[in-house]
Order: sequence, then structure tokens, then C-alpha cells
Amino acid sequence: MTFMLIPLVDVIFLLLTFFMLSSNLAPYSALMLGSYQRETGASAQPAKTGADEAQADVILTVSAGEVRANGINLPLKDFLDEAKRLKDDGAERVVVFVRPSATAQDIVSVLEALKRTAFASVTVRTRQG
Amino acid sequence: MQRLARERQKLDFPFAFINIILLLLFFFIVTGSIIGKNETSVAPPLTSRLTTERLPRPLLVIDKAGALYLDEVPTSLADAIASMERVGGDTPAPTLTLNVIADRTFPAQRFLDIVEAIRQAGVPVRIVTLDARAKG
Repeated sequence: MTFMLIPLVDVIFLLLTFFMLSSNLAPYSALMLGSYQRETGASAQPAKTGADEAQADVILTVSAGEVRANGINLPLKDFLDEAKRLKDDGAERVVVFVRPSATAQDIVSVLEALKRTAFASVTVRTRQG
Repeated sequence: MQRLARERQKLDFPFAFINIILLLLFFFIVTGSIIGKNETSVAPPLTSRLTTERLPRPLLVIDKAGALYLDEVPTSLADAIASMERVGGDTPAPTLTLNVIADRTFPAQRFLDIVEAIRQAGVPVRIVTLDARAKG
């Protein structure tokens, strides 16, 4: 019985072609979520909410495609530069409010920028209206 | 002696060729991961500056309509949490993290509510995103 090299190469080529066509090179990333609280009207820990807001260095409000940072509206694509500027100014605690119009992409973009700038504390809240 | 050397030279090409193909094959087997149909049907949020990795497991998929799939199996939020608690066992701090992938157009409030319900059960959560360079 002789060793048949060509059929072996054929099978290996088929396997290689299958894996090359069916695979992507690690296109995914993962993001840990900081603390999150839901605010519903007058309920949900109003005293703690007020305390957190009072201690926050930066208050962000995320809505569809834009973020309001300390009263200034910015498109999400410009938020990373603003986050760096806030961090350079000494901000450490961030509270993020999420409007109903915001999507998962909007909140992820904001969290990614905050992660990049390494704020000490990031709290996410949802606010009605 | 010379003849032996020539015969060995003849064998070199196919064996080196197979070695390279086998190395490529091992590379794709090791770096690849099998992705289910439901997992490719959602368009996850895009990020551009995070470290890339393989699609992690266990994976909770939230599609555009809000339907949940835990590792390709349709599930409810309560069942997904119960499954994770069963895996985590009685350990006070389960080390197994649930990875959540949602459609990028999914409302952020509903998304955060789902994530928080899982975290309240003591299961750490990571949000899975797609690297913008791989969007295609």
C-alpha cells in the first residue's frame, strides 16, 4: 500500500478553502457597562439621584445622534475630543442620561469615548421625556 | 550518495507545500469561531478604538424586534438569567460574563433595562460591538 499524496492535498485544500471563506478575522469588541439606574417619574431613589447629580463633574444627555455635555450640544462624532477636554480640565465623575430617542449605537459611542478617556466614575441613567 | 541527495531534493517541494497549507489550516481553525444565523442577522453598534476579539460566548442576541436568543436558542429574559445562574452555580461572584449583542437601532432605554435586569441577578455583562473597520 503506497502513500497517496495528491488526494490528501486535495482534502486539505478543500478544508482550507472552507475556513478561509467562512471566517472573519476577529471583528468584534466588548465593552463593560458601568453602573446604571432607571428613573421613572417621582420614584426611584430621588435623594440618591440628586446626590449623584450634585457630585457629578459632567452631566451628559444622550439623544439620537447627539450628546449634550454640560449644556452644549455636540454631534456624537465630536464627543471624543470634548471628553478628552473635560478630562484634561479635571473632570472625574460622569452621569449619563439617556433620552428615549437614543439608540444602542448612541449609548455605545458615548461609553466608548468615556472608556477611552478613562473617567473614574460613569453612571448611566434613563430619563423620561 | 549523489543519487540519494537528488531523491531527497525531489521530495522537498510537495512536503514543504503541505506544511504551509497545514499551517494555514491550523491558523483558520484556531482563530475561527462558528457564528449562528441569528447572530449575523443583527447589526451591532460600531466602535473603532476597542481591542478586537472573537465573538464571545455565552452570547445573548437582541434583534430589532426585541426578541432574545441565548446562544442561538430563543429565550425570554427570565430564562436567560436563570440559565446564567445555573451555570454560575452557588458561587457568590460568578466569573462567567454574559455577552449581549443588540441591533444598533434598538432603543437604548430598552437595551439598558435588559442589561440592568441581568446585572441585578449578579451576572456581569459585556456589550458586544462590531469593529467599524470590519463593517465592510
